[in-house]
Amino acid sequence: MTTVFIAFLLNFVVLFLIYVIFVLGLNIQWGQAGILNFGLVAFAMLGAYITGILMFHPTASSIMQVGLGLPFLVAFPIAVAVTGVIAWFISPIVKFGLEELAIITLAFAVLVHIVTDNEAWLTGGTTGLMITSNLNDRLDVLTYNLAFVGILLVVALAVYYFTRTLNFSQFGRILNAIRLDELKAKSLGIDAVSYRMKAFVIGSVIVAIGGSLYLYFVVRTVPDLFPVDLTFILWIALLLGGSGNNRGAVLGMGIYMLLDMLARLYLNIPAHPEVGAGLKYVVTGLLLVVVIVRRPEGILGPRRSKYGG
Amino acid sequence: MTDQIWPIVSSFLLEMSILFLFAAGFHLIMRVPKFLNIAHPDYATLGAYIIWTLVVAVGWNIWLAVVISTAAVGAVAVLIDRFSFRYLRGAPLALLLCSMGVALVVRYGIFIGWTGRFRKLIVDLPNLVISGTVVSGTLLLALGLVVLVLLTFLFIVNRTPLGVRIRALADNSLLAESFGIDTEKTLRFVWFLSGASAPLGGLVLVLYRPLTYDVCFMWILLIIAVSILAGEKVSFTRLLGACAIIAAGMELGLFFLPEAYTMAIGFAILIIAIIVRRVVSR
Repeated sequence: MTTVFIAFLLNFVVLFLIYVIFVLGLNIQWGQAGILNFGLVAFAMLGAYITGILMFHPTASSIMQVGLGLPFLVAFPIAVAVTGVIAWFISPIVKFGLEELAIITLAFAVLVHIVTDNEAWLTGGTTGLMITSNLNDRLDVLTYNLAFVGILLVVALAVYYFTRTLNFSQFGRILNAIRLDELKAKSLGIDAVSYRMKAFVIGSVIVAIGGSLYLYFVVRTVPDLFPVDLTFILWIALLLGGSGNNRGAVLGMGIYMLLDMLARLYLNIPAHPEVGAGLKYVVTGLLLVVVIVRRPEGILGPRRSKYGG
Repeated sequence: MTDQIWPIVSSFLLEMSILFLFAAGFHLIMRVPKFLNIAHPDYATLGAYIIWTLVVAVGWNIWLAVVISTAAVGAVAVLIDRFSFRYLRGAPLALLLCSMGVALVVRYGIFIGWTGRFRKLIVDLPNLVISGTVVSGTLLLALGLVVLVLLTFLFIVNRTPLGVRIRALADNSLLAESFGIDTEKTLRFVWFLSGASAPLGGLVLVLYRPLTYDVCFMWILLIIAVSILAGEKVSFTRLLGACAIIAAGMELGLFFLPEAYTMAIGFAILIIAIIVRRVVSR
C-alpha cells in the first residue's frame, strides 16, 4: 500500500465522517420531527461560507472583498451560531404541509447556491474561497488526513451521542409523539409547531458544524462543493439505513461511501471517466427505488424504543 | 419602439412555452396519481438526447425524430411506472422519494450513455418577418407546440371517455374504482401522455442551449411553481396562465436584478403562491 493510496483511503474516511454529521442532522429533522427538508445542503453551505468569510484575509487584488482574518477556533462557533439564527428565522416554514415544505426548502437551497455563485465579492464566486490553515501549512498529506480523521471522529461521536441523548430525553419523546400523531399530541397541550421549529434549528446547526469542518479540511471551497444533489444523497443514505435510526443512518452513509469508493477505484476507465462518475449515481438511485418499493422501513428499520415510539 | 419591446416579448413567449411544455405532463401526474414527479424534467432531457441522436448522429428528418422520441419517452414513462411507482399508489411521500431515485437513474444514465462532450442541436427553422419584426423559427415552433399540446390535452381530458376516467380518478380514485373504472389502465395512459409531452419542451430548450445531462433538471422548481399556481383541478388553460405569470415575473425581474437571479423571482412567486393558497384555504 503506497502512501498515496493510504491518503486516498483516509480522505474517504474524512468525507464519510462529514457526511455522517450531515445525515445525523437530517435524522433529527426527518427521522424524529418528521420535517421534510430538501434544502439541507444550504445549511452546510452557510456553515462553510460564514466560517470562510470570517477567516479570510482580504487583499487589494483578491476577488473577495470581505473577511475578518479570524482563526478557525473563533470563526467556527460564530459561523455555527449565525447559521442557527438563520435557521431560526426560516423555521416557521415547518407549519407547511410536506410537499410545500419540500419545495420551499429546495428553493432555499437553490437560492443560496445562486447567491454564492454570483456574489463573488462576498463568497469568491466560482473562483472559490481559500482560507489559510495552520494544519494545512505544517503537516504532510498523510498526517493531515489522519489528524482530520481524529478530529471528525470525535465530533461525529459527540453529535451521535448528543442526538441519541436528545432522542431519549423528554424533548425527543415529544417529537416522536408529534411525528406519530400530531393531533393526539396537540390534545395533550403540546405546542407541536414550536417543538418542530426547535428540531429544525438543532438539525440545521449540526449540519452547519459539518459544513464548517468540511471547509477547514478542504481549505478551498467553490459552490459546487455543495451541489444541490448532495441533499438527495443524504436522504438516500437515511432511507437506505432506516430513518429515525441513528445506526441505520450511519450504515446507509457507509454503504453509499463504499459504492463511491469502489466506483472511483475500479470503474476509473481513462477513456470514459463518465462511466465511473455516473454509475455511482445510477446505482444509488436504483437502490433508493428498490428500498422504497421493497423495504420502506430501510435496512435496519426504525429504532425500537422501550416507549414503543 | 418595437425594436426595444419585441426582444422582451419574444423572450417571455419562449420562456412561457418551455415552461408549459414541461409542466403539462408534470401537472397531469401531480393531479391524477397525485405526487410530485421530480424525474419529469429528466424525461425531457432523455427525449432531447434521443432527438439529437436521430437527427445529428443518424441523419434523420427532425420531425420524424420528434415523433419517435415522443413515443419512446412515453413508453419509458409507462415502463418506469410499471416497475416502481405502481407499487406505491396513494402514498405521495414515498412516491416523491422514489421519483428522486428514478431521476438520478435517468439523469446519470444519460450522463453515461451520451458522454459529457459538448453537443448542440442545430436545426434550420425559417424565420417569419411581420412588418420588419423578425419572429424566430424557434419561437414559432415553441408556440406551435404549445397550441398542439394544449389542444390535444384539452381534447383528451374534456372530450373523450378516457378523459372522463382521468378526471374521475383525479377527483376520487377510490370512488372511480368502485364505479368499475380500470384505474391501472387509465394511469398507464396518463403516464404515456405525461412522458410523451416531455421531449417537446426539451426540444425547444436545446434549440438555443447546448445539450447537457442536467439541462432540463434546473427547471424543476419552476415547473412545480406553475403546477401549484394552476390549482387543484386538472386544468391546462389555468396551467398556461400560471406559466404566463411566472414567465412575465421573470422577464420583469430582469429590469431590477441581474440575469442570474431570474430563477429567484420564480421562487419568490412560488412562495407567495403557497402562502396565499394557505391563507385562502383557511
